Amino acid sequence: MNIKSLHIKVSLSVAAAALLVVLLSSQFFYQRDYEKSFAESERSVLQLLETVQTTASIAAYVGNRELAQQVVTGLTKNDIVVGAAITAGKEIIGHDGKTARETKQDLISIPLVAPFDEKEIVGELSVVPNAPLIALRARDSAMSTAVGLAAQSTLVALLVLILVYWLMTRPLSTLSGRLHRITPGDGSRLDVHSIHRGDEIGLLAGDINSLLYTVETMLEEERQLRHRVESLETRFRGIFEDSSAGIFLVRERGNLVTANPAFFRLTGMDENEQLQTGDDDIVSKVFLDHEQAKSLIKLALVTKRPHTADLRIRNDGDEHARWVHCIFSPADNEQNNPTVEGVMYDVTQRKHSEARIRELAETDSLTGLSNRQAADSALQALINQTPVGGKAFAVMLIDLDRFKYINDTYGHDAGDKVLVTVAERLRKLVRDSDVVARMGGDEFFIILNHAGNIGMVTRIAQKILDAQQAPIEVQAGVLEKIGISIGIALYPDHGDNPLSLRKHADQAMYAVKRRGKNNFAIYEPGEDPLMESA
Amino acid sequence: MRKFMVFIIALIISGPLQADILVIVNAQNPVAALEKKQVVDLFMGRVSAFPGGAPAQTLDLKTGTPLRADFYKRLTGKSEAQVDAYWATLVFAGRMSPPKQFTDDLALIGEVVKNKMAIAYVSRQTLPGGVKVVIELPKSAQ
Repeated sequence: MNIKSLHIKVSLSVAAAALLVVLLSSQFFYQRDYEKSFAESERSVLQLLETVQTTASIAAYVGNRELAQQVVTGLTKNDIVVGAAITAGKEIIGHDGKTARETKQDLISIPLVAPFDEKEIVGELSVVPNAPLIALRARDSAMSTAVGLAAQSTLVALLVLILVYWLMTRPLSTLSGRLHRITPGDGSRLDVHSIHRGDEIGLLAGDINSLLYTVETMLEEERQLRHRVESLETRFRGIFEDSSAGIFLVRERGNLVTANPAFFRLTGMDENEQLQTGDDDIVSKVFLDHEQAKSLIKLALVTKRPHTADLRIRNDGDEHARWVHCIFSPADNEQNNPTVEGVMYDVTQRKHSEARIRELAETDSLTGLSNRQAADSALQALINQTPVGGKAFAVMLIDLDRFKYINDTYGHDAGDKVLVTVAERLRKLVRDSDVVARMGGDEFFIILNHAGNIGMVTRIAQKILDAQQAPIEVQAGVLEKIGISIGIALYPDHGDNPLSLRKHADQAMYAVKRRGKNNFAIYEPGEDPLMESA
Repeated sequence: MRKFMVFIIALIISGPLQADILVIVNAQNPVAALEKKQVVDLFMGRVSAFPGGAPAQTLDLKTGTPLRADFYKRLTGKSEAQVDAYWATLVFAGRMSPPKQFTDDLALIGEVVKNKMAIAYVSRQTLPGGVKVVIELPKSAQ
């Protein structure tokens, strides 16, 4: 039997309470009964004395020892009296049994009055009560009362216990046992005996049953919901996992939250490694244009709208960068730790073809220099970037002398060779950032980005002229020296737009041609177009 | 007439009962007067001597005599039966005996005249010279 069971607890409580009641009440009633019994015994002694008082009075009155002796002998025959004495005046005229001195206890005395004169006290009748006997009787009486009471209390406690067991503990433990065997969802219900219909046990069972029903309903709903969520999750996971686009979730500072396999395929990163080190700034690792990527992420968070861009991916080992088209959208965000969803797909092929097309459109196919359109747009762009009063730069228009002659004499191949050679020399003589273009025929055009003053421009022009002094082998064994004429215009002194700059450079170049060729000239404002320079 | 005679006789008979009772001793007894208590102690057997030390002998009327019941009633306040019971108790215990009884007043008076130790009671009447009254017990002296 379980020591913690309700029945044991109730039994122990009732037993303890009954024991306490028995102890306290026994104590109380024992004491009370003892005192009562003792008082009764004393009263009995007094009554005994009153019975013989008249005779004792007579004996004391006349001083009759025989009568007195009869009285005291009669008294000591009672078992509650162990000694008796009658005194007349100072003299003991009758005595039997023990004296007060022997038993060391108080006497019970009554005065004896004269039979014919109640005012005169003629003596005293005193007895020594049998105190041990009286006490013993009192104890016996009190004990039997206490024992009776204890027995009664025990009986009542036992009855209470049995009734509590039958009416409460047993039904409760039965109920608890059945409930213990029920698993919510198995459809079982509690049933109780019909006598409990309407009482607390019946109500408890009813409430538990309705609770079981509610729990079952909720469990079933939960199960269905979980099923729906699982199938949805499977579908979305499929989309996420199988997508050819890289999908990833990053925090504001660039740490990766999650990403799909396509992301790792595109970026060439180790999936396990990245997911383990979630604190790293993956955006900086992935994108070559990481600052642009980060600003897009910030933009998406601030504007709460998606932002897109073509970005380059770091790709160790491959010389050509891979391009991805990236869409950054703010994810469903919690306030303090916002995330951004990124989608990327590979646009490297497209980027390459675009670059190729642009290259074709802007290059002179013979010399590999920029063509006229490229030069025009470069000049326009430079002017747009350089405000009037800002940095100055120069343009050169170059025309070959004697090109028609070479072409006519040695054929187009020789002409082409001359053009290619001159182009190479020009390209070598200026900075990489300077634009060198072939405008068509034998005409070249150079934009000197940083040549801001006439001295610098003059030095470059002289270097170009000097380089042309080396002859070109136009045919096997045939060397020809090709001269050039250079016209120079400065921005913004000689024009603040492409047209006027080119026109003034052209004027300067024609001036050189007129004066004997193979030289350079800087345009001078207000100069007659036909005037010569240098 | 006859009823009247009965009433007269009844008066005559009851006359002494209503009268004072005299306690008498021998005329030669040195005791001149006694207290009521001293008389009680003598008649109830507590003392057997007069004040002064002379032995005393109490004389009583026969049980059932009206004067006897009257005397004890006046003296002790007890009935004749109570007094008899008192003596019975003492007699039963032994060594004690009640006063000697005489049949009438005359016998009593005669004994007192003869006996110097004697003490007795009589109803108020003319007494001979050989006795003297030591106390009167009036009716009211209950």
